[in-house]
Amino acid sequence: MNRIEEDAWITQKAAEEDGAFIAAGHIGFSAMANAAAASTDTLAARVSFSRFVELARLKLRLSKEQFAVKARIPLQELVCIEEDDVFTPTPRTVHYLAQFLKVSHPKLLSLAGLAQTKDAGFNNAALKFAAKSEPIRQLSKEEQEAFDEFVKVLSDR
Amino acid sequence: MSDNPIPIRLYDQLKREPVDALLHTGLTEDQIRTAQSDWEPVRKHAIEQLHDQGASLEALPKHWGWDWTRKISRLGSKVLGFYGIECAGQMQGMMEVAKEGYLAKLPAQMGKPLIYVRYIETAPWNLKLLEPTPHYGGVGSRLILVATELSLEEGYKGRVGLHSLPGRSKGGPEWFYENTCKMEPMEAERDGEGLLYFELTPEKATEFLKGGKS
Repeated sequence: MNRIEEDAWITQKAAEEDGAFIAAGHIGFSAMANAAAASTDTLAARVSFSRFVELARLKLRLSKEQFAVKARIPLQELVCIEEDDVFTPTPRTVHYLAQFLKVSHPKLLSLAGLAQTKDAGFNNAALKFAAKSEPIRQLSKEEQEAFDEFVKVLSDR
Repeated sequence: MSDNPIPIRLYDQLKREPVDALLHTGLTEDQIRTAQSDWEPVRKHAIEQLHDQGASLEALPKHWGWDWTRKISRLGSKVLGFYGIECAGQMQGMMEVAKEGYLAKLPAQMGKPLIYVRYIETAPWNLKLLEPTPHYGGVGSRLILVATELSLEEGYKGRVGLHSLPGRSKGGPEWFYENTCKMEPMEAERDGEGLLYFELTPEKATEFLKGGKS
């Protein structure tokens, strides 16, 4: 394309696009910020979110599968939430989690790293929760069985 | 790695005329980090505003957690390509493509190699949804043009595939790929997240490259 043709092409395409939302790729497997770039506040909040969801599920005595079904969220996303501190859940999932767990939607969005809060008290509470909620406990019978079963799979050659 | 940017043209929506821009055919870590730090706060703030104004969760753009810096570890891969369009000192759009490993799904092209667009995004200030007066036009089309030309270079005859974020109504991503880029949607090829698959055939690629009224 020469300059005149290129100008004509881009002018026409700009008119056709008309400020369209252009995006392709995966939705759920993209973190808001990687661990190296994120602030400590953000990381603490993310840890809190991950722990909060995990402990909420344990308190309800639900497996991940059961919890995902009841909360109406994708199982794959729940696994990422609980096991990947830099995973960013989708707004839809946070919405359903807030509904299911009967907690504040804006606060949960903030905890998930999807919104910012200037509430220092809330940030401190999230940090304290993250610090105190590190799961230190014996494996349950089910966890032990699942672990043993997985070790067998891993041991298969 | 520093590329030799190619001079191209974009459409300045405010001046209402084409302007000079640069196409980077190999993004560097610094370029990606800078673009991410430029885009993320604008994107997040705009989406929060939409939410505050009562937009339903379903209506909010689904890319608000995207982090291009997570792709840095893939820079230098022989099968992947990273492209960016720079104008006025800022990245206006970026794209990651796979040059190998993906095959066409449309019946007439089944099994033939294509360029697969893994990620594409334009800067948040170029989207009407987030910015009532978008700055630059044609960024998305220009990036798809890059993918199409790459497909021709690789001998794939213009075949390009991608999974679009949701949005079929005018101005949505699916609308863009189907109407502006002439790509064909395939309901049967939605991915695990339910994203609709689009494919550009050699014939439609020619039409897209040529431009002209739809």
